[in-house]
Amino acid sequence: MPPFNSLGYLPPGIYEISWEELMERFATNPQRQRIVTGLAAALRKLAIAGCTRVIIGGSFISAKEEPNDFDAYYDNFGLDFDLLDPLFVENIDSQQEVFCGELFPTIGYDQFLQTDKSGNPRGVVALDPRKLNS
Amino acid sequence: MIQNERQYKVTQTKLRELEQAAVNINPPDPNLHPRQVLSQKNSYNKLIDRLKQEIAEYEELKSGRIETLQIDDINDLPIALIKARIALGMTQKELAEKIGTQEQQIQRYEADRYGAISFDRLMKVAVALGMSLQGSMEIAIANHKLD
Repeated sequence: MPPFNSLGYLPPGIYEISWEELMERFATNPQRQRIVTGLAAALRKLAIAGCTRVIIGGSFISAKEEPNDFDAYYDNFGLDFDLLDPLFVENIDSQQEVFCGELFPTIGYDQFLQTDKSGNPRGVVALDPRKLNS
Repeated sequence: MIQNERQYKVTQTKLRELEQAAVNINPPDPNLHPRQVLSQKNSYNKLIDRLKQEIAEYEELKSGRIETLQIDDINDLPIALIKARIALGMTQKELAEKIGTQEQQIQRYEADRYGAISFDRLMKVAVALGMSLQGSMEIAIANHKLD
């Protein structure tokens, strides 16, 4: 994992990361730990539906000391949609409250996370939610 | 929140892309699970609504129709500073020149919601924006004794 660049982002690209690495690099203070707890809950729910890949970005994956939330998208091909939690389908408005962040299906959203508000490219991290332990 | 013309243009482009993507799933592929279609539709709509709101807010501020800003929480003061600048039609560069700093510094301050600014510099920003309180501010002090 490279250091943050001058904009406070990972250099452009998708970095494969383990849950342990994510914790070590990004769960560095109480606010960030709170976000990680919500993210873990979301990943466990996605794993139940058979999701194998989640991309995480936003200010959580930046040098920002106290990000408000995380932004993510998940690969939604081959999922068991009968098992997918309503928070990803009918109740997406409640995601922020339950997960401290938002996760949307991949299509149309991948370019979103890989640029900031001003269009500057920035790096994101990818992990397999099924490998999240405990 | 959109803070400058560049972000305004980038947001408009992102909105167009999303609207196109939302059109492309209509009518939905009959082979797809209805909940897959619904999850995509709801996600697009949520994002589209959010971007439209941000664009509308920026356009409203830029219109020059806004003369006062109301905040209900002292934590909203940084947002009011950003809004005041936009409502005045002042660019980040112009504000930077007024207080004797670089445009990038103002961009950082605003992106960080003025989290790292010193108080004397914050006052310079408020003066440069011609901000004043209307009436007086009533400050409540929590009334509890420390053990």
